Amino acid sequence: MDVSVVFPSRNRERYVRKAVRTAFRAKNVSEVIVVDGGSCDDTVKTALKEGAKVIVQSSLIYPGKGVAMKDGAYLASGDIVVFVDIDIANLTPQFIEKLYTPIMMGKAEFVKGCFERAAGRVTELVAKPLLKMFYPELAKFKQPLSGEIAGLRKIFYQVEFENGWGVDVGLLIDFYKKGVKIVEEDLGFKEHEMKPLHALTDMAYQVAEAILKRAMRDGKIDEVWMKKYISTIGEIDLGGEGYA
Amino acid sequence: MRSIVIGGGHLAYFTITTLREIDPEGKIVVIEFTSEKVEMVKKTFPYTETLLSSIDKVEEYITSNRSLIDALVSATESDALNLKYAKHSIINEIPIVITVLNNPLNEPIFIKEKIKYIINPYKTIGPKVKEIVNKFRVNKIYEFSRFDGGIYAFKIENAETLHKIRSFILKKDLPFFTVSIDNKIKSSTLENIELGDTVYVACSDKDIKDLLEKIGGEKK
Amino acid sequence: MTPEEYSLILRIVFAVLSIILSVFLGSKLRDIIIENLSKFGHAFASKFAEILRYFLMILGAVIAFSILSLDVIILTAISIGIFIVVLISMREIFSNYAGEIYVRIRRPFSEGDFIKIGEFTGRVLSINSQDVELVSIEGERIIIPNQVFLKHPVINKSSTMPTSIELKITIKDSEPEKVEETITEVLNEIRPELFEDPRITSITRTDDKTEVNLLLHIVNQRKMKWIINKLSGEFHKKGVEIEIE
Repeated sequence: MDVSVVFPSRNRERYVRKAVRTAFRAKNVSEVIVVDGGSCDDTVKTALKEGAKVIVQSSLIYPGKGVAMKDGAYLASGDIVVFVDIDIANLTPQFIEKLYTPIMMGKAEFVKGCFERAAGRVTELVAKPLLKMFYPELAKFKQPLSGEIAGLRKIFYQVEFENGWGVDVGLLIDFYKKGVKIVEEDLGFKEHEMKPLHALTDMAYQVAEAILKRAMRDGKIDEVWMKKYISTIGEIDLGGEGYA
Repeated sequence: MRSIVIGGGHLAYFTITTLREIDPEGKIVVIEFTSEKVEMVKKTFPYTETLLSSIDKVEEYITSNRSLIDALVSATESDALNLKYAKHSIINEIPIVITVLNNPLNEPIFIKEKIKYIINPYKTIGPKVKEIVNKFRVNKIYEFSRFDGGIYAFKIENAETLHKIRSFILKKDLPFFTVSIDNKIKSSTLENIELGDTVYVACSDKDIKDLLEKIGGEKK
Repeated sequence: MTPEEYSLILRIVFAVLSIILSVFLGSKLRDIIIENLSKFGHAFASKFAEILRYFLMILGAVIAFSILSLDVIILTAISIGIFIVVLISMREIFSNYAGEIYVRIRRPFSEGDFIKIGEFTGRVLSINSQDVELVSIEGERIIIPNQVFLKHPVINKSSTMPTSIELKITIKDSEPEKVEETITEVLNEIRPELFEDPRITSITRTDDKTEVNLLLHIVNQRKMKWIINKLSGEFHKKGVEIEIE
């Protein structure tokens, strides 16, 4: 089975060389794709020089992690697609291999990576409580918002990608609903830049939106009640009919 | 002519309309991935054959119909898919392969992948703005698809430019017309060109480059 | 150290420096050439740069030998001799390279264009260092050595797409007055696959058969086979047997 590694990226010139080289060193990796979110630095140039396939996000919206992931999954030609954050300082080939191994062994169709650290603030305060409420089966995942994932390429064609930060939890819920075999894989320690607190507001909003939208779609929230509730707190776009 | 349009969004809308205009009796097949858009395309363009397909089945469709497809337009909402389908069509020797870009920043990437016909819908923004604001020396207002050339507009600001443009047109025997400062189209004679006029010339990019070097104007 | 020994060491140092300099300059020149000529194709630019690099290295070696006071004339003569022998034995290959240079620089066609060269017609699949690969109307792959492009005129038909095809249909034992009507009906069936309306250029009647000449315009040349099958099938459905040339 061939593996495509996808790095969503924007203004990550200082990480891109190492990330692409590391990905190519992992076993079974046939292509590395860098999906650029409109970088102002030399991210694209460096990625091309290192032999990665490069595409710029189809629409430049911020945050547009989901758009980047969708483009990456669509451009990929490997049987397995691995998504990894580009700015992991301690990224190793083994890190990538660990992500796709359960799929190679037939134990899973989708792998969610987790790390040896306390889960983030949005995970603990937004994602986990909402998942516990609406999808208790998924509450066991230590890091449901982790961006390190791997899956059979074909499964990514069956789901809708959220545009922003809600993409990771959205994929998890959608794959679960479609009966995809999911496992969580401990990837060890991840050295990664933490976002400042003020930057988490949008992220928390989009994660909540992604979960609530699916809960409504799956009939777990009463639509009439939701409409009434939202009218009391102002405008929230849940993407569903009548809420726009 | 059998044309395949992949995608049923706004990019496809204009593509289908134009294909119908080019060949009203031709066959147009639209491939879409969502049932809602398939229904919309069916209603809007009843003369098309509309197929609901999964993303990974399109390449199979192209391969199995490669002997019949005359033109393929990849106009989905993802540039990644557009690139993938265009490359697959070229490998399968589809005679005319066109991609429509969602993000103009992807144009160099598509060129690098040897996609010959790339439609960048945003390309008219620059020339239009220049024309409206009316502050330019040279403006490429139309780009030919089949070779490196186009229709260029020159604003005649001084006697030296006027002289050089006249010699350039005469030497290369280029088709041109002139619009006066009060927006009237003048007859196409070199003697009629005056200061303040805008001269529209059809020529190759290389010729323009040479001319610009002579008159010391901007490159594009 | 005697003056002779000192002079020898100095000459060896200069000779080595000459070789190092030629290797260094060769590499630099290669990078510059690749950067500037890549617009004509990366493979072509690399090859051209490599040739120049080797030339500079040989030049460096000759200078080094000259500094060491070795017999440069003999060395040069041997080099030229080897070069001529290699050139003669590989003249076909060099000729193909020359053809590639012509194709890349003059650009009479590019990949994807429909061309006619000599007796061959087809769409250009790839332009390589030694040959150009075409695919014909019948779907056959044709390899044309690049040197052919130096000797024969190339007709690039891409700007005149689609291709016109003349077909002669012979209809036996049919009522003459019904032939035209049947043909029109059949042509309507295949019209969506054609670039424009098909034309009946002539109808000739003899005692037992009618010959019809048709002019069709198609974009995808491989569609030809399908059209012939479709025409036969449609006539067959109407109970008319035909022969197509």
